[in-house]
Amino acid sequence: MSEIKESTAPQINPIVSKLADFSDRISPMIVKELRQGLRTRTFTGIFLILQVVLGLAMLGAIITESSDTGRMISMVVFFFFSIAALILQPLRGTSAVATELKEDTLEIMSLTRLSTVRIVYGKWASIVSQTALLLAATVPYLVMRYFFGGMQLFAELAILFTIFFVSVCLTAVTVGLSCSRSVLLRALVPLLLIPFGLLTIPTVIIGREFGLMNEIFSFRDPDVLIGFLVFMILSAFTGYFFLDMGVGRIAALAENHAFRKRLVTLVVMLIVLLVLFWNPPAQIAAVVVLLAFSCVIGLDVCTEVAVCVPSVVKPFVKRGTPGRLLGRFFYPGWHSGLLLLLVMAGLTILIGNLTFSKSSFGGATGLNEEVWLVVLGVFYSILTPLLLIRIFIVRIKDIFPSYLLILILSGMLTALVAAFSEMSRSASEGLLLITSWIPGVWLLFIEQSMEEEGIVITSLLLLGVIFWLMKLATSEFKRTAELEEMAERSLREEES
Amino acid sequence: MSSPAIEVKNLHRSFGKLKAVNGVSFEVSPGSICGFIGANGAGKTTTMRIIASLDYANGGTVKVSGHDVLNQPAKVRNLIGWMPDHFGNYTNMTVLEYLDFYARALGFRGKERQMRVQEVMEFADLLPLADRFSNKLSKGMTQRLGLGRSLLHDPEVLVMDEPAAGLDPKARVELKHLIRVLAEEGKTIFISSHILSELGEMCDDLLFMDEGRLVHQGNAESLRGHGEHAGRSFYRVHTLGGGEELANWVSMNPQVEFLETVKSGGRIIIESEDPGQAAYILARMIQDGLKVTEYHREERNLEDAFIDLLENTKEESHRPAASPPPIPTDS
Repeated sequence: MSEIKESTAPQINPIVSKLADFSDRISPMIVKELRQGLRTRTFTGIFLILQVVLGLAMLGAIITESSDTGRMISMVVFFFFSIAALILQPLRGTSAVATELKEDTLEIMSLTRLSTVRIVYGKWASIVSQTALLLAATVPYLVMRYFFGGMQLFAELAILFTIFFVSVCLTAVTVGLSCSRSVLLRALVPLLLIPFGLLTIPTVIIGREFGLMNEIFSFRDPDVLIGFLVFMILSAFTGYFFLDMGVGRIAALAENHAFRKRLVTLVVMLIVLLVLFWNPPAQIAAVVVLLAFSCVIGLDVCTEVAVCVPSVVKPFVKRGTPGRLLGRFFYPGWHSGLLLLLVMAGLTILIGNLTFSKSSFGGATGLNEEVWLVVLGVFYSILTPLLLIRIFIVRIKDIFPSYLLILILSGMLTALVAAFSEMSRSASEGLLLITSWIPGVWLLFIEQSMEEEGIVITSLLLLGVIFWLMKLATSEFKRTAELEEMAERSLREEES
Repeated sequence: MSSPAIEVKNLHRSFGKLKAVNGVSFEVSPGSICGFIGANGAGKTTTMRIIASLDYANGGTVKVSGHDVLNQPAKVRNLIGWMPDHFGNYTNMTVLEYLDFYARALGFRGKERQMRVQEVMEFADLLPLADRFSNKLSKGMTQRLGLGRSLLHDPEVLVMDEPAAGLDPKARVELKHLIRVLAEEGKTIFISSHILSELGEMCDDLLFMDEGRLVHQGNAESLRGHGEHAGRSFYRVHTLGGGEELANWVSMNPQVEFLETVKSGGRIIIESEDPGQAAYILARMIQDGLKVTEYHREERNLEDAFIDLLENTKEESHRPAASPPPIPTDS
């Protein structure tokens, strides 16, 4: 290219000088996405419609001014902004990375200095920036609404911020899911989001509920504030988790995203547990939190492919035996995830026993029968789909949709069993025993007050599943050990 | 001594039971144009993807300018320009913005970024297309854009996977010209195709792959002289009686072999490179009543040589390859 360099004039062509429109400090991914995104019909459409609707609402309010006008304007602003921010913008996220996967452009990007993290987070940040633009466009209407009187400034600003924040988290979820090649999975998002949003938003924003919202968001009650904080932490974590899960799905084999993701999950879990212990009604919440986080970890680790290369195990091997031991829980793949889940199960039972008051069941444990069954049932439901996948669909690379499908089918089968057991109460006990292997049927044992039987059966089933999975994981761990040896050899060579 | 631009040793890659690459080893010298030839599914793209650090090997090593692809992917990526056979373009993004995005992603800042974009646009003649949306370009323009993108960081080695596939003749000529210019600049070009004639004339070295194995390495001349047809000559013969008449005549003359029918005649192989023998055959044809209207020697067709080579190596290809080192497989 030296000849090319020599032949070009040092002057920058006026066509190329247009490229100074975005600062070099902004991430290339955000620049790209903003250039594309601001040109899309979806964004320009949403922006213009929002302006027209809010403008007309304001005009109408000015013409027909009454004592309730201010409140009406607030409701219109919040309603339309919610539709845009909580439904339309997150929906745009479903195609964010999927388009790149479909067009094979992700690979070319991976050859640049852009990491997978910057690609996925850049996609998310760009949609969030566009939502922020929509937010900025609604602010003038709220300022005008202030002059109509009766505005609870702090509460309404808090509502607006919360809507924006939830939109940010929802967008993170959809962008994360867009890293899957499964059309079915991505189609599930609008199927859930649109009806849920269209039912919830009008209920919460319009009518008397709006007054209640103002009351809640004034945060006079400290419990409400604590609840709000936990909600914010969990929402932010959910967004982060899905984004990182997406990153892990499209990352190169040489990158270990499992370590950071699992570590962050454990840290957030610890923070939430501390917040709850600081706040008195925490005893049952501790087990609930542990189970919720186990589900989240389970959803991720059970759907990870156990492909690993020496460069991933190298940083662990460098730290000797403690590093290798840590790697058993933090290497990418379902096999290390399984061990982490078993630790989570042990932790849940331990903390549950420490925090729950003594019950009659077994005499030696702090957990009561119901909670025992829930704990066992949840772990059984997490691990059974993994076992089915490992046995029947080993070679599929994107396991997430299959895992979800098994969970959905289990839910449907459980509902069917519940319906049958409701129809013939006399045969319900036998029916539950026969169908107890379906993940979810353990819930019906609680409903039928058969906790003791449920505990015995679910324990046996869970132990069977764990035993089988450990057997399958052994070969993966053998391969891990081989990789560790390779990494060690390479480290020795580097040293010498 | 400088290390080879590309060094592949005992490379293995499997997808389930399919061995896409099976014990391939070769070297590409710095500054050369190396053609990588094989039928669809021969394992060319898999090998190239491993070289470009986009896929991993189950066994063997790949080095680019002395850097291991698996252990030093970042260094390798700085040295390599990768141009796939097909790449999707973005909607709502102009050619200028496309190149700017990649220049930013490669770490260029400020004026340097603008200069790099300008240089590759001038080189690939993309300036007139600057404001066109990148997804609205023709195949030829798209390939030029892809070439421009792969040159942004001024790589030492350019890996091009079937860049001319689907191009019209004009775009093909333009692309060949650009590749020649790059080679003159001293870049190493590793280019694949399943069309032999496309690469034969411009490559210093040719690698032939079949069913995951490397079956031949050498230039076009060495391929032509390879195999059972070495030491024989090829002639095109036109007669008024056409190909059938010629084939009948050949069947009665054991020193001549009929290769294929062409318009108004056929191609024959004479068991000697001696022009005297060819003159004798022509005389025999006329003597036997064939109305010969054209008779001239042809260079051995590269495609024929390649097919001949494949047939010859078929038996060898079934020999077991060296077993690969520990394999991280998909599971």
